[in-house]
Amino acid sequence: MIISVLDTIYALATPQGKSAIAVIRISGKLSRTVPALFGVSRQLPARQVGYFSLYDGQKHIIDDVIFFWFEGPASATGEDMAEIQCHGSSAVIQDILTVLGNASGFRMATAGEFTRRALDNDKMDMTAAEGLADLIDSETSLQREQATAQMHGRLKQPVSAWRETIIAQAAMLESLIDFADEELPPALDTEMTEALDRLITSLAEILDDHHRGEIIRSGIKVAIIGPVNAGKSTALNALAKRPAAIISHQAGTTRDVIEVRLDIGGIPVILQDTAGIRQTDDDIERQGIDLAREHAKSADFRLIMVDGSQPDWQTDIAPILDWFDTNALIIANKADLSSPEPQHNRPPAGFEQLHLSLHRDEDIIRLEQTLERYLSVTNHQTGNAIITRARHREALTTAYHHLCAARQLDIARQTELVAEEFRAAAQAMSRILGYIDVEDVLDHIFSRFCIGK
Amino acid sequence: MTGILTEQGEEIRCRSVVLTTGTFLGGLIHLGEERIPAGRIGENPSIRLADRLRGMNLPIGRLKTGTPARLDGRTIDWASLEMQQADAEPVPFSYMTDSITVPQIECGITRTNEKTHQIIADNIHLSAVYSGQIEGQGPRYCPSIEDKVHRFGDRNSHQIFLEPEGLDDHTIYPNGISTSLPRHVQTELIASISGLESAKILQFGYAIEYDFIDPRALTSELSLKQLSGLYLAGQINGTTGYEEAGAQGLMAGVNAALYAGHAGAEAGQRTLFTLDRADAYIGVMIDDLITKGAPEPYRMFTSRAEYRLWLRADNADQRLTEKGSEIGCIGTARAQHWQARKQALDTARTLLSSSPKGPKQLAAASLPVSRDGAVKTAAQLLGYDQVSFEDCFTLWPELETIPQNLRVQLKTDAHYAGYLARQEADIDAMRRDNQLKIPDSVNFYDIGGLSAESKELLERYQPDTIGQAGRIPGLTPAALVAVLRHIKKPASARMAAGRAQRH
Ligand SMILES: Cc1cc2nc3c(=O)[nH]c(=O)nc-3n(C[C@H](O)[C@H](O)[C@H](O)COP(=O)(O)OP(=O)(O)OC[C@H]3O[C@@H](n4cnc5c(N)ncnc54)[C@H](O)[C@@H]3O)c2cc1C
Repeated sequence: MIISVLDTIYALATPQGKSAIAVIRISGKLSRTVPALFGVSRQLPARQVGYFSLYDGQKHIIDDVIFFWFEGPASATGEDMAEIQCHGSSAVIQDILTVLGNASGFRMATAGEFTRRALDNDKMDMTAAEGLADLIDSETSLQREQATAQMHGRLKQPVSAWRETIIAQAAMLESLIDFADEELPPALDTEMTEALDRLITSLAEILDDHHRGEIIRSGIKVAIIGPVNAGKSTALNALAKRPAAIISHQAGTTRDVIEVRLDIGGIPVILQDTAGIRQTDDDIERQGIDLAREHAKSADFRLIMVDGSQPDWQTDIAPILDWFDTNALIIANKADLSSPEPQHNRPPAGFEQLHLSLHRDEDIIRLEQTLERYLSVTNHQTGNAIITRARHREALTTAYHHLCAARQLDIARQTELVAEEFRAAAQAMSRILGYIDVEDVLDHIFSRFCIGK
Repeated sequence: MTGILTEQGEEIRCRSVVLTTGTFLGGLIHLGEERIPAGRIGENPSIRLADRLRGMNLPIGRLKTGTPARLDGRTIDWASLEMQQADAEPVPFSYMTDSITVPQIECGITRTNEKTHQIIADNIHLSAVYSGQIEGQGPRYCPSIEDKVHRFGDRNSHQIFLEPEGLDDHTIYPNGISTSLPRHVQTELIASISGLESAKILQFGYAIEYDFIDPRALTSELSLKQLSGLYLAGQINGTTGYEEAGAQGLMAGVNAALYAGHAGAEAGQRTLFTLDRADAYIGVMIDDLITKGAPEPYRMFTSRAEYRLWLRADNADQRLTEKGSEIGCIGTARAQHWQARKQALDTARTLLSSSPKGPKQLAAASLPVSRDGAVKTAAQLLGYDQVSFEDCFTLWPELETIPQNLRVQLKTDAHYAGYLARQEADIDAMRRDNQLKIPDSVNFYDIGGLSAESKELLERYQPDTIGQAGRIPGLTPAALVAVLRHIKKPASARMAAGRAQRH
């Protein structure tokens, strides 16, 4: 298929299937002709709404719709845009899309094409587009908050400010190199050292966020681990409130890792049920156990599930505890089986333990609450994360290292090397908000310093 | 290209021509309200040549520059002025020059003052630059004293260098006060400056507007894309400055000669002489010009070069002599000189990187020791800012045999080593991109997956290579990938794509 950017594109903006209303969006030069395609002769003034009856080629009425008309560049994509709100019937939607599809110069949008056009037309910057994508994918309130914040510039603002500072400092360095014989203000290097220190500090602060943004965006990984038959799958199902894992009373059923996505107090959680740990000769089961160990290691948090009615459960889990630091909660299950309930024996050093029975609803609620408490701590809910993607972190970390390297140099004597580090930092920063060109630097030089003989 | 017809009717037959018209092409001088068609004061502009070029439908624009008044040095009160001595030891450009024997003379330094600024402020509306009389684009920096006063109102004084124009000439060039104010204002202005109270003006300053050809119409050998054999160099390509003009003159001249020697051969079969951004500043400048054009008079600043730490005066011979030899532009004496220097450099580099010393020896010689206790070569030690050649002599007495004139370059190389290694990877990538030619037959509007803006940018800039396309301001990396994918398709598929898109 050949895709031309000159085409006018259209797409159903609401999900397929029956609904009260469906929205079809159209963007491109020919958007203006949309009413005419449906036998409507009225042309709306820009940014106005009309109530139209749409007809197909045979002059049969398709539907009564609300029609919106935006004239570019004052539109979401920056191009001329139309929006049809019709009734959400598959037949109506199909008929409207057919009329559009048959019109010359129109084609169905490819995935993300509306956003791409908005980007190309400077209606949105890269970070806002990423925020929008995250918003559409968001499943929990924290994810939504974070995505909206990014759309509104939570990343863009500090990055633009750093970008400005980097350009200004690079301009000073370049003027020291290229215009040494001009009258430059004294104390440029003191000014520079101070600006550099501020830049390094604020980058360091934002980088030191315990990856909270990325965790919220992709979810906190919580692994349920423990000996066989302790009730790991029951725990997963209880928390997921639906049977996602196969539960049976035969030990060693869960050999693969089963994942469910949960919303625990707004925090997105990826709960992983792993194979039970025990000595085994079964090859497949051993592979499952190895996998369990890997997941336990890479998880952000662990629930260690044991059968609390067994007297020697502490010895059973001792080897497991060596796999990771203490970021885990021990759950002694089956408290209802031992009567009277066992004395609360002391948990292994550094761990908290919870005695409960997954057969009791109030215990499941207690588990959920404890987990939420733990996750909000893991999550460092103080302060808002700015970095939500590995791509951002990589760019900012690279910039940070170059700026630190610049700080180690002597600005007066190694000006050209400091400039080199700045150039590298600018280049790294460019990956988030667009290219920093030498012209930006020269602009700054000539507007700040009186240069020219 | 068959030749030149002069105004006198003389016909000069030739296969290639280099045009270097400077400010003469459609030149128009502005002095206050006066407008004088001229190439320089007192010299006729090139009007018919300008008409001929316009007739060829070339992209032509207007730029402007200016010059200060010239003063009679005998009427300046030097005794009252601070003087700036010439460099005690002037450094020659070429390693073949041992020392500079031409007499060096001093400059005077004076300054504008509040009275000067008042005169300018009172009369700025009379300046050609401010009255709106000039359409040509000037540079962003301050070319005239009226710009300086107007744009930097907080400064109450600007420096002026009083530069003698020659050893046997009493004309003084007052560097820093270029102006297009009317004559009577210039007289008043000069007289307000300390030391110039009774200075005689030999020639008034002025602004000049002239035609230039948008250099995006040029190939990297500086010939017009639409007329092979016609080369352009210097200010006609939108640059300003001596070195800028000289460098283009060299490149255009060499290529014009190569062309004349191989007339009739297709571009692919001819020898071209081009330099890239990692070879020389010349390469940076020509690449900038032919990719980005000249929205303002183009000046070479070192910040324009990505590989500045490599493009140094001390290694110019190393970077360029052999390239010059390949096209027969290097004389025997220079070739031999370079061979000798190259050998000496190789020997010195071997010395510097052999016999590494351990931490104990280093410490004993008060040289920096690394914490991991690793052995070090002299080259590694010279990488430290504070370590000099002399510091290394105790441990490596053989280094004393390295001639003085190589030491600066070797120390610089060692000092920059880490950075240079990092840049090498970038240079390789840049060269690979430059190898990826975009065929002339490509119509950018045919390329799928490109935004309308990207298509317009590409059509406007007409890049010859992927490398050049990558340097188009505003072109996104995604667009670059789309172009790359398109040119990697077989030609037949590209044409089919074009037909389908246009349908
Ligand atoms: C007063 C002054 C001071 C300057 N000071 C500096 C400085 O300090 N540092 C610096 O880097 N730059 C300086 N410049 C700028 C620099 O001189 C120019 O940018 C540079 O010389 C341009 O070189 P060019 O070869 O393009 O043109 P030019 O040097 O202008 O030469 C053009 C030549 O072409 C000839 N010509 C034009 N038309 C025709 C025709 N039709 N037929 C035959 N011949 C023709 C002209 O007679 C002239 O000789 C100064 C410029 C001026 C005017």
